[in-house]
Amino acid sequence: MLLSAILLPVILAPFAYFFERWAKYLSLVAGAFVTLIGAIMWLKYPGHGFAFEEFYPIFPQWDFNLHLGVDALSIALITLTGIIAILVTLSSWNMPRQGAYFFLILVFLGAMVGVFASLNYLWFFIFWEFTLVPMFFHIGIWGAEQRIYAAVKFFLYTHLASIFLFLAILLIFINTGHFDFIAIKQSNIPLELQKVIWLLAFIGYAVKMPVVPFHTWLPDAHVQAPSPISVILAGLLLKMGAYGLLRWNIELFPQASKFFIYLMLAIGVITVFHAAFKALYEDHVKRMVAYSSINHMGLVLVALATLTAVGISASIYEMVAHALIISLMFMVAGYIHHITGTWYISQIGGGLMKKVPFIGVLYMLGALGALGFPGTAGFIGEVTAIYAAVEKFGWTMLVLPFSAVLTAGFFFWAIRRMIHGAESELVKKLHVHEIPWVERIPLMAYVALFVFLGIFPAILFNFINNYANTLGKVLGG
Amino acid sequence: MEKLIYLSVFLPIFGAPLIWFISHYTNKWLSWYMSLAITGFSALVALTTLWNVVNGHIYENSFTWFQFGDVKVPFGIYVDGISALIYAMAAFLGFLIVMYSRGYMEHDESPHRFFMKVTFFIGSMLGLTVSDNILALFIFWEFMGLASYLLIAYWYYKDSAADAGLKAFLMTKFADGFFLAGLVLLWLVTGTLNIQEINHMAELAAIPLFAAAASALLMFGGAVGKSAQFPLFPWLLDAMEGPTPVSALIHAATMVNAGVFLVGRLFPFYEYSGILYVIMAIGAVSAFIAVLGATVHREIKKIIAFSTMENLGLMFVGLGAGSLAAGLFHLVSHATFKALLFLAAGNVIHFTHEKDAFKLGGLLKIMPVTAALFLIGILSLSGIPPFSGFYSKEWIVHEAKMAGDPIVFAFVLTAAVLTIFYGFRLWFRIFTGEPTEAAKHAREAYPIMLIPIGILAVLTFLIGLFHKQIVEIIDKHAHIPHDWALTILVFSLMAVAFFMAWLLYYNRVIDTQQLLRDPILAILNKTFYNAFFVDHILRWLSKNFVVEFLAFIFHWIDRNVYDYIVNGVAKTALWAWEKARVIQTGNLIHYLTIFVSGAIILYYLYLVIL
Repeated sequence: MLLSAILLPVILAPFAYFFERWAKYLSLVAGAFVTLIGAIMWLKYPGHGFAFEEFYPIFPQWDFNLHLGVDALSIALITLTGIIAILVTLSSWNMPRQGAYFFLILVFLGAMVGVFASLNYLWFFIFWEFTLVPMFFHIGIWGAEQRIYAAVKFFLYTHLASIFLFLAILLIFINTGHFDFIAIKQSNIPLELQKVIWLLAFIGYAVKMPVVPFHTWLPDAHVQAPSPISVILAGLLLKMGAYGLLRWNIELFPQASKFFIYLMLAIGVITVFHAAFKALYEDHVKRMVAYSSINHMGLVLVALATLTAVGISASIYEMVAHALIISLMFMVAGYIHHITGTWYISQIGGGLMKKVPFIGVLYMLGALGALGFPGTAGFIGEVTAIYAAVEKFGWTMLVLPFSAVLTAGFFFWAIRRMIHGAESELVKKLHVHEIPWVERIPLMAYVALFVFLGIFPAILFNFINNYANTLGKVLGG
Repeated sequence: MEKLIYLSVFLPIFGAPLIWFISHYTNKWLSWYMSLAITGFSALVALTTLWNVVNGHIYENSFTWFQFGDVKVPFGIYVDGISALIYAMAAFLGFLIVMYSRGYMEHDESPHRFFMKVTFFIGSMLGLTVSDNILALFIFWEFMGLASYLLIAYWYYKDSAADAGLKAFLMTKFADGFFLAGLVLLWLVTGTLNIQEINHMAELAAIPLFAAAASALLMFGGAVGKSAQFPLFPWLLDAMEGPTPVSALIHAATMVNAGVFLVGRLFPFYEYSGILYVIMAIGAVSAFIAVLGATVHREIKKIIAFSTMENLGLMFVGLGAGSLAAGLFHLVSHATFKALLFLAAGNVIHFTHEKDAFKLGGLLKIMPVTAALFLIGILSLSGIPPFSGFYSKEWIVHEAKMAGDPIVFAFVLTAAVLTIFYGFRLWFRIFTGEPTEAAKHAREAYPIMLIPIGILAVLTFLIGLFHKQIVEIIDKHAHIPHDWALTILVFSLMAVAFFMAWLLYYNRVIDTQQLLRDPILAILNKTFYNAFFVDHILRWLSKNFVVEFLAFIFHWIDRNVYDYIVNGVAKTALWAWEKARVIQTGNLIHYLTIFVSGAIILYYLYLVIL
C-alpha cells in the first residue's frame, strides 16, 4: 500500500508529460490517491509503533533495502501531503507548460511520500534528494524575474546541507553496518559519536526547516517561485526538515538530543524573533510571508527542543497548522502581485479591499491564522508550544507570546497599507480580473481546514498523542 | 439550561457569517432581522439565567476540549452571580444596540457586513462572561479584539478609520501578549485553567506567592489594554472612528468591560496575589488623565470616550481598593448609562452630521426626547440620585477614601467632581443656546432609535432603585456604605462644578476660547487634550524604536551577516574553481598523474587509519 502511494505518482509522471491535456487531472488523481491512502492508514492505524510495514530487499548485504513503514507522525504528514498536492494542483490549473509542470509535481509527490514512509536511512536520503530536483526546475522555469539565481541558490544550499546529512548516514553505517531505522535504534553507538552524527544530520535538517542562520535560501526561493510552488515549499518541503529532525535525530538518538537541547532552544528562539522582526521591516509582500513561515518553524523547533510529550505533540500540530496557514498566505500574496503588478506594499499603497474583497478577506484570515488567533489551528499550535516551552525552560519562555504580537504587527500593518485605507493611484487604475473558481477552491479549503482544526484540535491530537507520549517517556527516562 | 447558554454564545458567533451570507444573496436588511432575532434569543436566555441564578442556581458544565501530550484542555461554562449579571447585561444591551442600529445605519451600503460583525461581537462577550476557564475566556477575549478591529475600521476605505482600527488591534494585541504569558504561567503553576479552582487555591494560599503575583500582573497587563487604562488607552479614543452604535457596544456593553470582568472574576486570586494596589493606582491615574481630557475636548464622542476611560479607571480603583462589589456594580451601572449616552449622541450626530459639540446648539427644541434622555444619561454619569451612577460612584469614592492613599483619593475625587462639569458642558453646548446651521436641519430621531434609549433610561433608574439587590447578586456580604460626610463633600464640590459649567456653557459669560490666550492655560489645555501625550510617546516608540531600530537591526543582520556569509561561501567556491581550472589542462598524462598519485595517497591513508 505504501509502495503504491510512492509509485503511482511516479508512474503517472511520464503520462502527464506526454499527455499534456490530462496532466492536471493525473496530478489530481495522484493527490487524491495519496490522501486516500493516508486516510485509510489514519483509520486503521493500530495506535502505536510502526504499521503497514513493507520490506523489499535490494542489497541485503549492505542493509540497503526498501523498508517502508509508518506511525502516527508519518501518517499525519502523508495525509497532509496528499491534501496539499490536491490543493496545489487546483491552484496550478492555469499554469503554462502543464506537461512538464505536473510531471515534476508528480515526481515530487512520490518522493515526498517516500521521505515520510522510509524506514531505511539511505532510502530516506534518496527520496530526500529527489524532492530537490523538481523544486529546482519549478523555481528555475516557472519562477519570476530572478528565478535562476534563486533556483541555484536553493539547490546548492540545500544540497550542501544534504552532504552533511549524508556524512551522518555514512557514519552510522560505518559504525553499525545498518541503514535500517529499527536496527540502528537497537545498536549501540558511543555517545560521543552519536553527538557528531546528531550534529551533522541537524545541519541538514536545520537548513531544510529552515532556522537562523541557515534560512537565507528560503526568502529568495519563495519570492521567485510561483505561488503554488511556494505552497509546496512551505507546506511540505519544510516539514521534511522538522520530520527528519524528529524521526532520525530525536527518536534515534535520545541521549544526544538531550545534550543538544539548549542548542535547539537557542536556535529556535533566535529564529522566532529574528524572523518576526525581519518581517516587520519587510516591504515585500511575499518575503514577509516567507519570514513569517520561518518564524513558525522556529516555534516548531522550540517545541521540539523541550523533548517532552507536550512539546512534541505541540510541534507536530504546529507543523500542520503552519502548512495550511502559510500556504494560504503565499497564495494570496501571489494573487496580490498578480493583480497589482508589484511586490511592494508601499507601492500598492492601500485600498485593495474595495477592488478585490475576496483577496482582502482571505489575507486577513490568513494573517489571523499566522498570529495564532483563537479559532484557527495557529492558536492551538502556539498555545501548546508556549505551554511546553514554559514548562520545560521556565519563565524566560514567557516572551514567546510576543512573537504573535509582532506577527499581528507586520501582517495587520500590511493590511492597513495595502488592503484597507483610501484607494491609491495604482489601485484606482487597476483592471481586476476575477480569480477563476477552480483557483478559489483551494484558497477556501485552506481556511476551512485551519478553522476546522482550530475548533476541533482533538482530531489531530488524539491521533498523535500516543506517539508523543511514548517518545516523551523515552526522552524523559 | 446549560445547553441554552452554550447556544446563546455560539449562535451569534457561528451565526454571524451566515447572517452575512444569507443577506448578501437576498435582502441586505434581512441581516438586521436575523441579528435582532439571534441577539434577542441570547438576551432572553441570559435574562432567564440571571433570574434563576438570583434564585440560587449555579450553572456549570465542562468537558475536555482536547488533550495534547498528557495535558487536558477543558472548555466549559460556570455561571454564578457575577457572571450572570454581566452576561445578562451584555446580552440585553447588545440587543438594544442592534435594534437601534436599524436607524443609525439606514444609509449604509452594506448593513449585512455591519450586523455580521456586531452579532459576532456580542456573542464573543457573552462567551467571555460565562467561560469557566481562563483559556476559554482568553479565546473570547481575542474574538472581541478582532470584532472591535473590524468594527472600528468598518469604513475601511477611510484612512482615519483604518488607522484607528489598526491601533486598536495592535494595542490590545500587545496587551494580550502579557495576558497569554500570564495565563500560561498560571496554568503551569496551578495545574489548572479552571477559574473557580484557581480562586479556591488562592483562598487556601496554595499558589506560590511570587508566581501568583507575576501571573496576576501579566494578566492585568491584558486588562490594561482591553479596558483602555494608562498607558494603553489611546486606541479607545481613536475608536470613535467606527459607527456610533459600535462605540456604544465597545464602551458600554462589551469590550472594555472585559478587563474589569477578568479581575472581578479572578478576584480572590487577585486579592491573594497582592497586586491590588497596582490596579488601584493605574485606575486612579487613568481616571485622572481621562477626566481632564474630557473637560477640554470638543467632539461629542471623544468626550464620552474619555468619560468611559475615566469610569473604567474608577472601576479598577474600586476593585483595587479591595471591593469586588463596588467595581462590578459600577461596571453594570456605567454600562447602562454609557450605552444611553452613546446612543443619544448617535441621534445627535446622525441627524445633524456634526460631531463637534461646539458647532451645535439649540437642539433642545428640535430633538426634545433625545435631549431629555441625554440629560438622564448625564445625570446618571455625574452621580445624581436617584440614578444608578449615584450609588455606584459614591461607593467607589468611598472605597478610594478608605484605601488610605491620599493621591489616589485626590485623583478619584477630581474625577468624580469634574464629571458633572464636562457632562453639563457637553449637554449645554449641544442642546441650549441658539440653533446653529447644522442643528437647524435636524429632526427628532425615529422611534426605533428612541425606544432603546428610553429603555436604557428606565434601566439606569431601576438599577438605582434596586441597587441593594444587584449588589447582593455580585457579593452576598457587600452593601453600599452610607458615608454622609463624604457625600456632602462630593455634592458641594459638584454643585460648584455644575455652577461653573452653567456659567461658562449655558450663560456663556465668557468665550472659553479666549482663555486659551493665556500661555499657561494653553499649555495645560494642550496637555489635557492630548491625554498627556501618551499616544505620541507610544507612536514614537513603535515607529522609531520597534520598527526603525529593533526591526532594522534584524534586517541588517539578515542582509549583512547571514546572507553575506552564504554569498561569501559561494564566492569563495567560485574563486577556488577559477584557481582549480589550472589543472584542467586537457592533457591526458596530467590527468593520469593526478589520478595515480591520488590513488596512492588514498591507499596510504587507508593503511595508516585502519
